[in-house]
Order: sequence, then structure tokens, then C-alpha cells
Amino acid sequence: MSFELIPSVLAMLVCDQIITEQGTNKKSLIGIFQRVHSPMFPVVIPRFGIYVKLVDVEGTIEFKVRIVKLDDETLLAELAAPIKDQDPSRPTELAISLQNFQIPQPGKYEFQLYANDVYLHRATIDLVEWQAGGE
Amino acid sequence: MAPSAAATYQSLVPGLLELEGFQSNNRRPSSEFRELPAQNSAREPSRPIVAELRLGLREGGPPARLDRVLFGALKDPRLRVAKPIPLDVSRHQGKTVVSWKDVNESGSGETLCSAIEDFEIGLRSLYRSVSAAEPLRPDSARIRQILAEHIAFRPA
Repeated sequence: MSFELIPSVLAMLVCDQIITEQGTNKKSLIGIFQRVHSPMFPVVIPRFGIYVKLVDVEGTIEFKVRIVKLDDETLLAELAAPIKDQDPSRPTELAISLQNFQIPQPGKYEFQLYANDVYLHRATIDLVEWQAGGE
Repeated sequence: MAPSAAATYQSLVPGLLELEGFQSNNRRPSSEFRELPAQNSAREPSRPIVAELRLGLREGGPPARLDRVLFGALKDPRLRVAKPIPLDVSRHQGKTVVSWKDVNESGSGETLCSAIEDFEIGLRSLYRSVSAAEPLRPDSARIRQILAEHIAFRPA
């Protein structure tokens, strides 16, 4: 799949929840985070979201998010999100919601965004083993 | 047993700020709101999901390292990538190296993405240097031609 325009990312954020206001369609990103503390691993994150705002999205594009554990660069998941019939004259917003996502070990994890297999952007979160009352 | 993972996605409609005095058919002006307007969380999407998300969760998954990656992410408001740039990916002395052999430009880092970002900085520098140089040596002219095929000015 090819495209006339290659999308550009204006923002890519990881958060607890993405809320859309009825009527205006304004978005609220609740609980933007970069670090996760857990007393044990593996850990299941019940819910989180990835918000992406892009320009130059035209026609039909298959977005893909690769979730990668950075220390050994293993692939945890690959999420494909095809978007159809986009108007390039206005920005595109994409919300990906994940439930019960299991993280095997502490460390840095990356969400790598591709459009039609072209690398665009990344967001990183840091999973830390953390006991209650720890420094 | 851990609950099974799941994922959904939405293509969102751009938001609208309604200024004081604006009166839509079924809404009061936002300045008169005494409480938060109705909200939809991503958990319960009001917009139809465009298509099913293909979720391939793999525990203890395969290496994410690629032999080749297409680059399309210039961080310059005046420039954009017009045609994806093919990068070869290799490992050298514990670091990831990405290289575009056509113009002899490369970047390195601890991970694939950090190597790509290092490459992107070098590519912008290369683009500026060959764009500004006059007269060009033959090799620089060749590089400028290749860059012009892949990088374009963003319309104002």
C-alpha cells in the first residue's frame, strides 16, 4: 500500500482514558503518564489509551502500533488500525484503547507508530518494580 | 489466570470550541454550562469503530528488530518526507545502526527508534548543507537530487 502524503505526527500520548465530549467532540486525555509502578511482575494494566493526532492523512491508511520491550527489543504486540477516506485538509485523531494488557517484566516499553509500514513516531513508558512505602 | 487482553480503536472527529454567543440547534452556549457536558469515554465509544482491530498479543514474543525500515518522520515544520526512505538496520558494537546507503547517511542508538531519531537529525543537516551549497561538487549534486526525490517543502 502506498500513499501520496506521508502523515506527520503532531502528538502521541499514553494516558488512562480518552474522553470525547458529546456535541463538540473535544477530547480530554485523563491521566497522561509515562511511568508505572507495580509491586510485582508480570502485571496486568486494566486499561490505558494511546492518543495520536496527525496531519497529512489522506485516503485509506493502515496504521500499526508495535509494542516493544526495549531492553531486548522483543515484540509484545502489534495492533493494526486501518483508517478509511480521510480528508487531508484537516487533522486526524486516533484513539487506541487497550484492556488487560500484560507486561512481563520491569523496564522500558515503546509504542511505535507506523503508517503503511513507514515509521512515524514513538511513545515510551517505564515500568518500575515498586513496593508500597518505597523511595 | 490473567484476563485476556483486548484492544479497540476509534478515528475521532476533531473537536470544536464554542465561543460565547454561539447557539447551536440543541445546545446552550458553553459559557452557560453549570455542569460538565455529556461525556463519552473511549471505553464506551459513541462513534462506530471503523473496523475490527487485529490484535496479535504474543507473550515472550519474537524479536522486534527489523532488517529494514521505511522512514517518514522529519521533525521540521518546513519539510516533509515525500517518498519513504529505505533504511538498512544492523547491530554494531551493541548499538543499532540505521543507514541510507544512497546518500551515505546513518544514525545509531541503543534502540531502533533512537537510531532513527539520530538519523533524522543528520538527514536534516545534510539536506540544509547540500541545499545551500553553490556550486556543488558532482557527488553533492547527486545527493541533492536523491534528497529532492524524497524530501519536499511543506506548503505554507
